[in-house]
Amino acid sequence: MSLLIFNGSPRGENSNSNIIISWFIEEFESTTTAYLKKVKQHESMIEEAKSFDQLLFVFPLYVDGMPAQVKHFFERMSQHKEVFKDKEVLFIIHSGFSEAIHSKNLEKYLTRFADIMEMKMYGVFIIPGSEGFRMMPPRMTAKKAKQVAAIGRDYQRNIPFQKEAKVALEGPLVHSKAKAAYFKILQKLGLTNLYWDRQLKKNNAFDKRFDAPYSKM
Amino acid sequence: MNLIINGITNSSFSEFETQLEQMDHKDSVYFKLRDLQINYCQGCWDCWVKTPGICAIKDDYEQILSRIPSADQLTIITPILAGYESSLIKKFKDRLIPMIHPYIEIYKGEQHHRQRYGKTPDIKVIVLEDEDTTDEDIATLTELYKRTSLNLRNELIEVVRVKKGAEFEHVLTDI
Ligand SMILES: Cc1cc2nc3c(=O)[nH]c(=O)nc-3n(C[C@H](O)[C@H](O)[C@H](O)COP(=O)(O)O)c2cc1C
Repeated sequence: MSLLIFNGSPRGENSNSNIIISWFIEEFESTTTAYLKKVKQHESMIEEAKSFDQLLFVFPLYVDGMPAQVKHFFERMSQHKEVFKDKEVLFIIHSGFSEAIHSKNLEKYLTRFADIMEMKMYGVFIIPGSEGFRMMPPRMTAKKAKQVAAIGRDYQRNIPFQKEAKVALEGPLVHSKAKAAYFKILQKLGLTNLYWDRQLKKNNAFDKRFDAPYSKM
Repeated sequence: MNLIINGITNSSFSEFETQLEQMDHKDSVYFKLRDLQINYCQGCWDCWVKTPGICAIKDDYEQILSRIPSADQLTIITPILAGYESSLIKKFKDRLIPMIHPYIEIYKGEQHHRQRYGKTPDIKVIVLEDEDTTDEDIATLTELYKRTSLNLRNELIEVVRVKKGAEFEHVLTDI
């Protein structure tokens, strides 16, 4: 069995997707990763895929779907169905929002896409709340890292898809009423925006944060 | 003003496209994405934390983006490719992110971002189907646009289906 990994982040190597991939492949001896942001190389990536029988796609949620670069690759794939037929495919999608509901429509489509391509679907895993992964110290992401590594280990050992692992990783569809109420309190205190405010201030752009440059066009 | 975005990727809907372009849609602005130089979003967040509201990529996209706050309707025309909207339309949508503000609020019981502008245009989607398009594909796409409308706090007007080989004149007159 051989695994080809597609990192579908428009950020390429410096992405949360790459961190998630590194967790997943902990127990793999060697893996190959292709970066879908390199759109001009999509044809050659299809050529490369021929010698693999398992594909892993990892990418962020972009405006409720996959990044456009990923969709571009899917369209190319659909013109080469014979290359992908019967290969096994696994998706890990992740989102800025910390609720799984945002990724559910994409999950539905990915299942349909595997069907169109006649590929064997291993599963779609959802990781909500990935925005800060690449900036967080490892202890803050340790739990997620462990969960993803366990899924990777199972996969590497040919253990079938485990529903419990998926459910644990994606958490509730929306936050409980209590958690939403807590969020509202933090919001009132201005604590939910710290992540962005810090970056705005660093860039001397804090005073311009509500700018609406095209409002009078 | 009606902002009409043509996300057809090649000449396979030439009849539809020719008629669309010949029509005189008053009070509308038309963009044919494949004839414009538009790059992919790179996820740099400059439009949120460096130059709020302005994209770091300088290309033809600003012509479109700058018109969105003053549009009443956004009409998206997309073929179904591999069971989903076209990558051209997806590229257009990914780069809408300067319209949104980084701050998160609870809206209709879910996390959503604050809006940078008071209003965004309601959305109408015209879907050009292929032989393999199923009712379920359209249901998934409709649900996708409902979610996008939730994020942009506007309304989804409707998703109009144009089946392969079917009449489409009424769709064009009703744009
Ligand atoms: C253009 C753009 C659109 C995005 N759209 C969504 C979205 O609709 N829902 C969401 O939860 N997160 C959204 N995000 C957040 C990303 O999913 C999140 O930042 C992710 O961690 C990026 O992963 P990466 O570093 O691997 O690219 C968006 C980010 C960008 C740049």
